[in-house]
Amino acid sequence: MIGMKLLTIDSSVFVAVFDSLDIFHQQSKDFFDYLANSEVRVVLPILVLFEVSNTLARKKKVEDPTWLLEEFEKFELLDMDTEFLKRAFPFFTLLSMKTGDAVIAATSFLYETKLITWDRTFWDAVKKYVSVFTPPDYVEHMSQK
Amino acid sequence: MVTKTISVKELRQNLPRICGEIQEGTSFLVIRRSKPIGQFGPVKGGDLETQRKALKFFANPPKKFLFRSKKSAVEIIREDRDE
Repeated sequence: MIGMKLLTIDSSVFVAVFDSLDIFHQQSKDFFDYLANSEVRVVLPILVLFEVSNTLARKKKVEDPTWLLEEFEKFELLDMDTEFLKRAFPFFTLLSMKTGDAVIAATSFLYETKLITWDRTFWDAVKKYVSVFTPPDYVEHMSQK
Repeated sequence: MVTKTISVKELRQNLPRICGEIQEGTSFLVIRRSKPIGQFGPVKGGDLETQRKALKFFANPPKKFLFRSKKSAVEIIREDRDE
């Protein structure tokens, strides 16, 4: 794992992949293509899977999420259990954010991952505590290394 | 995923075999003095090559899963979290 890049990718990036009208649709797809050719490990709280699958259920009327589960299970998925809460709670106190944002930010903090999001509000709220990038910012950051 | 029950003694005596089974996907519930004391199993998530397959999927998802929304992905998720 030494030297391996660890990333936590916010739900907004996954949802943009499925929304063909989203202004970040193509950039999100390009970002995943970039990652597929990089040495990265993706660490996600299971909340991301819930948010993405619920969005697809509402927007696309997807009835069977098995295909999505199979893809997400290839990443390192973290259960939101009491152990996670015990570790994340000091960070929750520090951040004072809504639960969804706090869980994703805490994951990035606890696992020392780089956080990737399109959400500038979220970005602003967590930048003091974790290393956060938009997809193109991350690609640019890596190209400068 | 298969979960097997194993005693501490069996664990101690058969560690190499058990490690092999974990690599093949088996989880274990460890029993000591007739009580379960812990469990362990494979690390969640695949190796890099497996992850790469998922990343390629999201780089080019099948058209049948695409939708068209007037709201941006950021707005969709933000509304969800702010409700």
